[in-house]
Amino acid sequence: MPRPNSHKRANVNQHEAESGADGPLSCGHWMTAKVHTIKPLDSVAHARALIEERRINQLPVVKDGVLVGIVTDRDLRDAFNAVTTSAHAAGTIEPAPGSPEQIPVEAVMTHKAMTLTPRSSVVAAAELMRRERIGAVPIVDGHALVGIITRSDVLKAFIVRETSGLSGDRD
Amino acid sequence: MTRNPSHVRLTDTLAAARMIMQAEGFKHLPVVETKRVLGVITDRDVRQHAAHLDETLVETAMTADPVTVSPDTSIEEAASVMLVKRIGCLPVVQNGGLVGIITVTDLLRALLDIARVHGH
Repeated sequence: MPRPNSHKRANVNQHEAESGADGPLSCGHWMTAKVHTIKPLDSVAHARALIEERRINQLPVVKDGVLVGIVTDRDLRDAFNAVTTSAHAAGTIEPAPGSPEQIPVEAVMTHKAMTLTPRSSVVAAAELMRRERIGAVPIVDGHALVGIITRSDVLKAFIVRETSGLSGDRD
Repeated sequence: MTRNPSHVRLTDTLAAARMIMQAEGFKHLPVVETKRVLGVITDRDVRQHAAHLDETLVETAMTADPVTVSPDTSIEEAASVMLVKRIGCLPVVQNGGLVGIITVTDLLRALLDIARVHGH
């Protein structure tokens, strides 16, 4: 399946509702601010352990507080498959060069992740996820990673809005 | 929802399940015997047995007795169930038999369409 590899700030046209980071339909309101992240030189094995342990599907890759990429369960699975297949063929058990313990995350991550800002609307996030077939979008303020918004977060925003009478106020 | 979705049986191997997931781009497959939904198997379940895909049966890795919905269930209700239970898909069952599967992606698409109609 084709994936974006050359994007940065998503072009979200009319839905980039600049209603303020705390607006009831803003990404800032619905994102998860406490994001699990990983560093570019951490190993693929470490990333995978973190994803399984936290039951998440993607990890923003951060260097000195700046978002430099994103790695998904699919990226990691593909890396693992390639390695376990060749290890089986070679009959090796010890971590060898090219094993998940030695491959850095930066070798398998998407380098220029699609991002939105805290002021972007959740509708823009939903459209981006659908168009690009991605499960989550990192939220950045300038270059700093400030959160992540997932399909579940967006779903929650829609549902709360629907059940609270549409205006978007959830309180 | 996706009607008549691909599915696996209890005695299929995880290797077979993974092949279907990768070929068709699904992360979840219902586990079905004589039309009845007995479980759901996800790519995460498969990953956890990555070293033994050829020897492990779907039955030992699946979530048994999954939460299901009917074709009449509202989008909002299906979404609430997924959020509360932290699951990514719901088999759709009618008269005791599998008729479809609905995922978070399906729900987001539907809700986007609704939002567009309302002018958001």
